[in-house]
Amino acid sequence: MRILHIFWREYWGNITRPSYLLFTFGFPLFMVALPLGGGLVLALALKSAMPPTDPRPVGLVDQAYVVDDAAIPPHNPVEILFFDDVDAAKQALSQETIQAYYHIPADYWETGQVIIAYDVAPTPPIDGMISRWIEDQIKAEVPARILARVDTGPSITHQGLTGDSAQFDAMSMIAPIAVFVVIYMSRLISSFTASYMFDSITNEAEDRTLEILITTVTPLQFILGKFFGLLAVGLTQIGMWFGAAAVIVVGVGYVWGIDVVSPVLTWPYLGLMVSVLVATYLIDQILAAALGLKRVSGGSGHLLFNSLNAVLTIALLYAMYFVPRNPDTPVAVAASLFPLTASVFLPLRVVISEVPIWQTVLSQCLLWASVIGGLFWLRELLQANLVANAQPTTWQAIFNDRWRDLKRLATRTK
Amino acid sequence: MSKLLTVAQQEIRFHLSQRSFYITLIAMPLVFAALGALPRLQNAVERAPLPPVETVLNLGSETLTAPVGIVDHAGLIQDFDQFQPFESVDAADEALRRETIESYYVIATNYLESRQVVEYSQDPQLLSEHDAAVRALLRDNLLQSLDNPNLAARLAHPVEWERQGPPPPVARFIPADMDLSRLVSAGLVIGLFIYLINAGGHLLLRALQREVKAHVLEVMMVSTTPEQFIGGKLVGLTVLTVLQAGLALTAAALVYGQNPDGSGPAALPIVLLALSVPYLLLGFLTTCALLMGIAVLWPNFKESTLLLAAFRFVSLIPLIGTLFILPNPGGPIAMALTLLPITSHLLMPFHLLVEAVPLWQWGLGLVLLTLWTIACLWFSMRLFRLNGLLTGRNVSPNLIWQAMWR
Repeated sequence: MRILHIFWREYWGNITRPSYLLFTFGFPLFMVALPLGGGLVLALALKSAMPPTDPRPVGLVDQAYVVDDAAIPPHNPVEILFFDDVDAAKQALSQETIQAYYHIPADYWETGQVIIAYDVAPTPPIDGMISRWIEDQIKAEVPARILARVDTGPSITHQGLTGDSAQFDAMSMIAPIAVFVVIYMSRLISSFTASYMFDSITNEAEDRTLEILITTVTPLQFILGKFFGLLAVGLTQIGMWFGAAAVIVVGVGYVWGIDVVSPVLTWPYLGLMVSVLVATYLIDQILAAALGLKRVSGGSGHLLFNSLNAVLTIALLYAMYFVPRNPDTPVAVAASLFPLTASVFLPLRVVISEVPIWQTVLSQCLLWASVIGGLFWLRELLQANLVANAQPTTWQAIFNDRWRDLKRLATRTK
Repeated sequence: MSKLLTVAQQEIRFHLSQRSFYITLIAMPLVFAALGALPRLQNAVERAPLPPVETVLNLGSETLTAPVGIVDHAGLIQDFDQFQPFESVDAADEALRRETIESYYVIATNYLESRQVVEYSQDPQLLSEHDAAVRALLRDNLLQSLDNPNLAARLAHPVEWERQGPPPPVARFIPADMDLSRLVSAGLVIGLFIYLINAGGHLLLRALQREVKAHVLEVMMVSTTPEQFIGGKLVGLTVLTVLQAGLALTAAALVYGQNPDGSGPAALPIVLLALSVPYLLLGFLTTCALLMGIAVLWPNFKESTLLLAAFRFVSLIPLIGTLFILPNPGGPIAMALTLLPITSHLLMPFHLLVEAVPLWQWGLGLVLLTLWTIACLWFSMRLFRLNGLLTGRNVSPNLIWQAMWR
């Protein structure tokens, strides 16, 4: 019951904070508004930097018979007037009825050269219009089957020699992108919730509420209540963001007639992904709480917490840029096994390469063992922190105590 | 006045007792000056024989780095170029197992319709470094298969322009005749201004919260007026900011423009810097005033930290104006942006450093910014006073409005 009280106080206190509400609702809006606003400003800036387009037509002299007589010429941004010879086009240019003329000479098919004559050069959109039209006329000469393959190229599937080995085709590109987005968002939410945990523990330890609380509840009750309260805070945020995203994706899929739910539910790595992300989320909170306690006695908690986040951000960048090219390097394998970085490396590696099963199993065992061990370690740290009012606790002392306990246990077992 | 100076003195004394202040004081001029040496460092790196690093960004090489086989069931390939041809999958499989090739590609019989190509290897992965070479091989052989070789050539390179007239206009944000080293200098100075303004605002916020946390604020408020208290804090922080800016700009003035090859930032003209500093100070005071408003309305540190982060982001928005100033520095948009008080504290110094600005425009911008700063300071002082009046009551916009004029 006391755990529930602590849980509710932590949960309700946090989700009603203005900063929490601002971030929860403001961040998705910001993520949508930023590209829209940025794009609009960039378009305006580009428009102001572009030279104005002359509205007069341009001439075309086609001596290589590139243009099909039946083809409808483009007219955006300006009209095209056809001339039989260069002299007529020159005259129109001198009379300023056209701003420039494009001359496709008879040897165009050998040289590819097109002559542009003008007094003031036409703007790039006009050159682009002519260039695209010539390209379309050339493509019309090529057999459709060959043109399709030249345009789109092959769809390459990568697979091993045995029948049951992993396969990676063009559609598999979606998985690493989706995994990266989910990992990034999870890390963001996790670090945000971890900072709640850190501040919450630190504040209560600083204003000495901790001692008062601890006289009515056990350290384990206190830690579990706080822990699950803040866990629920983070899950509320995750639920709102991912829930809103899921509603939009499913809605769009429904309108376009695409089933987006089944591929996710039948995705073979869904279980692994959930397990890794949940375990890492818990580890983040444990570390934040531990560093929050450490700040009281050591003063280095905040620095360590920020450093840890910086290291994980670098790990994420490393995983994004280097791992897809070489997913089986010793660094990538080690990072997949190490509990703090497994959530970044393991899900990415399984969707881009064939990861040995022992690595997946060992990584999971280490990850969850760290979570369980971390919870008990946190309780010990809390007690050590309380006892250490007179004398600050050190990391060395905590690990020495644990080592002594293990030796004592071993002696008793004998 | 003496009380204001006492508060300022205490604020300066507090920061002078912090180790972090001295670290920043020394590090900032060093970093700012060191940026001038970056082009030389870049040249040295470009000359160094470092091997290329494999990342997702350089996957497009069409040159093979290892032996790779091809089994062409479609009969499309006439020239295998750098690939090893195999008659059958079994033969390629055998070569792969004997490790004479790293992988082999099988082109499907109906490739033209299905696009299917499969790469077999011992360690399959999503991104293969040989894919780009296979795509190039297929494209080149398809073009060669066309009856008309000229058609293939034009399909690969449709148009080559031959111009009979002056060069065409180019859409660019930076005019072709602009001195890039001068632009770099201007960018660095604006970067320094942004840092100093944001850091000063943050220090003011922390200073107020420090007093609140230690319950000193109540004691101070009975002995000083809000104007004296806030004024003192601002004077103290302004002195420290001017000290930091002065050191950083002096270091830059000594280092910039000294590269023997002419690369890097241009030398900073002292007169233009002197004309820019009033804008920096007024921008600094405006930012402090606005942040003080945040601190008063949201005294909880956790809340105001998040708002401070949002404020910092918003404070970068005026920089977008540089995109409009650079293409047409003398245009009406550029003039408006350098006169508008919410953007002029950054854009006027930028404009000054990249292009000449008429003196009347500089003066008018300064007058407008001064008026804006006074209004912001007045508003924040009222809010600060209001903070005391509204203690224990729920703050509403109506209540704020009433209290503002009492």
